[in-house]
Amino acid sequence: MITLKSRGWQWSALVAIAFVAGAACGGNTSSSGTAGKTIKIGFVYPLSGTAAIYGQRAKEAAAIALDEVNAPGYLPNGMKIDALFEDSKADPQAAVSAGQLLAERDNVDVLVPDTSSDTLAMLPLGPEYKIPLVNALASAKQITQQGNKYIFRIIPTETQQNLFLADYLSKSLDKPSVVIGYETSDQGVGQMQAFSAQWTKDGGRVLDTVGWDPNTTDFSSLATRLISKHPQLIYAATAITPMVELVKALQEQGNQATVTSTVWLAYPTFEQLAGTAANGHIRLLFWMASTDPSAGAQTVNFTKKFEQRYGKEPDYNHAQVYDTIKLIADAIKRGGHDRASILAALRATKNYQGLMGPISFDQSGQVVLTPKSMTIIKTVDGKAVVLKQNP
Amino acid sequence: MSQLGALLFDGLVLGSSYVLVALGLTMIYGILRVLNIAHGDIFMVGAFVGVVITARAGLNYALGMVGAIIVCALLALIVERIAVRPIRRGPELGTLMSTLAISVILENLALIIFGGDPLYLNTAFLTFFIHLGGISFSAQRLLIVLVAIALVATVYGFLRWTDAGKALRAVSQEPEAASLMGINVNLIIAVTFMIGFGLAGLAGVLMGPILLVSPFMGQAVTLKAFAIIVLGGFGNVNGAIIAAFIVGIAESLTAGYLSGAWSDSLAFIILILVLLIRPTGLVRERVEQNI
Repeated sequence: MITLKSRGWQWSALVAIAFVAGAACGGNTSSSGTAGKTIKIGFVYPLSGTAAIYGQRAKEAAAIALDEVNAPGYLPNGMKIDALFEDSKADPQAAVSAGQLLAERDNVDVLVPDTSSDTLAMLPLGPEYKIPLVNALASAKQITQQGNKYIFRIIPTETQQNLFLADYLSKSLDKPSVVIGYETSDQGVGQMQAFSAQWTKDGGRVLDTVGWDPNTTDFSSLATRLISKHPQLIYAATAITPMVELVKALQEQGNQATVTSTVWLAYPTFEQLAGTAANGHIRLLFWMASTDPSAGAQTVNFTKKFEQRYGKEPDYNHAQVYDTIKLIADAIKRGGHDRASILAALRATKNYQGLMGPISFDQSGQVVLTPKSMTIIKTVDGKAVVLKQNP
Repeated sequence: MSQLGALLFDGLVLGSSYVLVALGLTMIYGILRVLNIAHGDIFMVGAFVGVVITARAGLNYALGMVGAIIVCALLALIVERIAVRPIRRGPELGTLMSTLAISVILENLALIIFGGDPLYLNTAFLTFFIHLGGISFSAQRLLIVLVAIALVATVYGFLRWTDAGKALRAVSQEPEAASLMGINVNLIIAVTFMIGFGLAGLAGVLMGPILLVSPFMGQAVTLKAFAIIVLGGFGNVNGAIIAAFIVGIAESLTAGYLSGAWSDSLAFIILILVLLIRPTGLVRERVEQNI
């Protein structure tokens, strides 16, 4: 039934007035002085789905970092930092919505995106909201190659990671042959291409390249395929949860090849989840927990605090988030108090000492490589044995 | 190691898990013309029951399996009573919406109670490896195949040769006439739901160790199960069984020879191709013998 009379307009008017009033109230309070101001960091991390493990770790690390930066006297003018989390679902569309929500509804001063796919999708939010984006998790090289003036990344790119790994492995094998497996996300594809290119450059053979959906958890058929070509090496570019299932499936089928990956797998989380299936795995790490003084005071302190609070060892995913928050705190100490000033302070960062090493950014927002940036380890009996440090 | 052999066995395992889910879905459709959108979520509930009983309480996996069946059968009674019975006499869209609502509720309850992290359901079968005829696999996979075959045979026998099974088929063909013959139609409908949900829940607790357990794991299962019952013909038990194994084996061969990225969509590609040639599905439907 269609009617022409409408009594709805009174309600519409009320709703419209309510919206306007609400918008006016939610607007930015003037920054007349930064005393006691709370700087908000908006984390867009997976809180559900197969990647939820990253969101959970991010929150654990954030709690420790926030305790430190919110201690009286740490930040100037009694300022504080708050970390807000929204679920990216490891899906670019959801991540962009989450980022917009944080930027508009919560007025965050910094956004922290997660995976490569999500970060690439969220890049336009930088110029749109004039907000800095600090990334510690995404390896896709395009992230800092698009001329975006708001992005900062504190970890090495996929190209740098794979150069280091492929070089080392092709030189330590006789007649190096590899089968490459990868998840079809942006980060998976990028890693696969980077490794493939470097491996071939070093004179190695690529026997097969196999892709899979990032949400795959049943790897039985894929494991059969990877083994069938009898490679010396199986290179896998996929997140920790599917990787655990993959190595278990490989073990189930009697795989003899060495499995290797760049930086996807936290230590010792991977060993704990995969059990004996993790042995023999060679991979890159950005950081390892340690209470040995030779690892440096910051690492020892963080490891001890973390173990005390959570009863387990932290891994580099924790270090990434910790470094992110402490770096932003450092930017605040250097004069950052809103989006624009934090952006400027971040750009000017010179040798900020993070857990993962000294941080300075090049013109594109990419962190400059240092000897502490990456380490190659092999899992032996559930423990990490260092094979090589970044030269 | 025989690659083809390993892939075929994998396909058998996948097909076994699909057949348990699709069988229940097609029976529920057959008896009431109700498409249970929440069916994959029953699979998820079964998996979580397994987690609570086996992974968390540390009890025997067999108890976990039995627990999953019982919980899902009880859930069937609740869902049938509140989401189906009051609505099924109305427009068909009604039960579609009500089962969709159940699906959303179940998924979000699971998210609230258990969180979004995928949970592990480890069993002794997972790490017990068997080497047979050039292929290796875990006892867990063999268990899935054996249980599926046993249960499908049982349900098939039940429908074909027992009085209760005949009553079920009668109700699916002509509820009015069946009730005139003295069959308690509401009871038969409830029993059908319980069987369907029980099978799906069992599939969940069997596959949980392999797929990892999370609140939204049932969504992909629902979609595939739908594709399978369309392939096999709505309400057609023989068709559902055949289609489930065809899809399972095809997915495994695709992942093994072509690309893992395609295997998920394969069920739907097969569906489109088959329907283009044969709109009523794979198995010829004799209208008076749907179940």
